[in-house]
Amino acid sequence: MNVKNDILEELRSVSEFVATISRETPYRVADDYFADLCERVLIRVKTNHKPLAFNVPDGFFEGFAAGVLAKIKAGAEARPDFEAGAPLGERAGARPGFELPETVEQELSGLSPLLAQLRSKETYRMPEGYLEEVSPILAVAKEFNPYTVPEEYFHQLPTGIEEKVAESREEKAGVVKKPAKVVAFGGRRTRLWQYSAAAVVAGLILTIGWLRLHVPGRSPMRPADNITAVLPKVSDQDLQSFLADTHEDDDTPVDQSAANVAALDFNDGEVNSLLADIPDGDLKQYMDEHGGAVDIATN
Amino acid sequence: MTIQDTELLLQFRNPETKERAFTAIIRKYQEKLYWHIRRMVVEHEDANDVLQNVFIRVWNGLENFREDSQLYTWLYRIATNECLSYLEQQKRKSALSLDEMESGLSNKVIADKHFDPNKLEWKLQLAIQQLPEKQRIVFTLRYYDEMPYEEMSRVLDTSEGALKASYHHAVKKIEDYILNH
Repeated sequence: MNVKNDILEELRSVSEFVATISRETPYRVADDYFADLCERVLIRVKTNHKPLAFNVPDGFFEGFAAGVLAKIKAGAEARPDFEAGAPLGERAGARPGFELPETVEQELSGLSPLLAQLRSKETYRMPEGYLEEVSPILAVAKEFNPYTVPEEYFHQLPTGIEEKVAESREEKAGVVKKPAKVVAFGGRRTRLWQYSAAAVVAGLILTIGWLRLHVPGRSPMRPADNITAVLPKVSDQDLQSFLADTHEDDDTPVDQSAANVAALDFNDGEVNSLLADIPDGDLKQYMDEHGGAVDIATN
Repeated sequence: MTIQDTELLLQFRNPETKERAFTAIIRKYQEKLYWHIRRMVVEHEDANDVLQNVFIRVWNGLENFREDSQLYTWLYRIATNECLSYLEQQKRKSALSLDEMESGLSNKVIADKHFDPNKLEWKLQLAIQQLPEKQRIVFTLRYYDEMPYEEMSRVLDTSEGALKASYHHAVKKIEDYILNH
C-alpha cells in the first residue's frame, strides 16, 4: 500500500496531469483465455515446444521397425525365388507378371513397334561408290587405322584390371596400407626462408661489387679524362721514349696535334685577326709557358 | 522470496510434483505477465506467443534458478527479455527502423477493435508507444505494475538512479504527447 502511495505521489510530483489518467489498461482479452493457458503451455512443453499439425498414434514408432521386417519376411516366403542373384524381373519387388526384356530392341518393340522399326534405319545415307568416286585415297584410308596398340595389350588387359581391383580391395580392407602421404606444415614458411636467403645472397653480391668498384675519394672518370688528367704529370722524355718504343715502324707524325694544327695552313693575317682581342700580357705569359709548341704551330 | 514461491520451487524440483508446481506458477503469474507483455507488444496474438515462450523458458530454467532473487523478479526479467527479442525479431522480419517500429506499434493500438481516440486511456497507450524501448519498459513496470525501483533494477540490470531518471523523462514525454495530440 505504501509503495502504491509512493508511486502516486511520485507521479504527481512529475506530472499532475498524467496522475489523473485512469491506470486501467484499455486492452481486452477473452474471458476464458487464462482458463486453459496452463494446459496449452504444458502441451507445448511436452511436445518439445513445437505445435504439431499431425498426430501419430501412440506406440507407432515402437513397433514400426518390427512391422516392416515382418512384411519383408512374409513377402520372401510368398516368393521362394527371391534371392539376391535372381533376375530383376523375377524379384519379389517387381510387378506380378512383369518380365524385363533381354535386349533393348525387345524392350523398344514392346513399348513402340514403330520406334523399333525406325531405330534400325539410318536417317542419313551416302550413295554407294560416292567416296571412291570423289577420293579413292579417302576410300582406302577409311579401312586403315593409323593407331597401333602394343602387342598382347588386349590379351593382358583383363588380368591387369583384375590385379588393380584386387589391390584396391586389399587397400580398402586394410591388408595393404600404403604410408599416408605426409604434407609438411609450414610450406609457406620454407618459401619465405628461400626468399630471404636469396635476398641475403643478392645483397652480398651487390655490396662486394660496390666495394670493389667504388674507391672512397675517387670520382668516376672516363678513360679519356683519366689520360688527360695524368698526362701532364708525365715528363716529355718519358713520353718520347714511350712513343719511340711503340711507333718505331709507324709513319705517322710524332706530335699529331701539332701536325693537325700545321695542316690548317693559317696565314699571318688570319692569325693576327684571331689574336687581336687577346691582351699582350696574356700572350706574353702564354709564350713564356708554351714557347716551343707555339713555334711549331705558327711556323 | 515469499513462502509460497519457495514451496512451489521445492515442488518443481521433485519429479513427481513438477507439473503440478509448474501449473501453480503459471496460474499465479499468468495475468501479471500477460499484461506486462501485452503493453509491450500490443496485439493479443503476439502477447500469447511471447507468454507461452516465457513459460517454456521457465520450465527449462527453473531447476537452475539460484533463488538469490525473487521468483517474480526472475519471471519479469524473462518476460521483458522475451518481449525485446520478439520486437527485435519483428523489426528484422519487416526490415523496419526503430521509428517505423514505434509507429507500427501505434498503428496496432489504433487497429484494436476497442480503440477510442477520445478516451484518455487510449491516448495514454499511444503516448507510451512513442517512448523509446527502455523508457517504455520502465514506465509500464512502474505505472501499471507498481514495481519498486529496487526490484526493477534487478529486472533490468540498471541502477535505481538511472531508472528514476528514465521514469521522469517518460512521464514528461507522455504528458507532452497527450496535451499536444
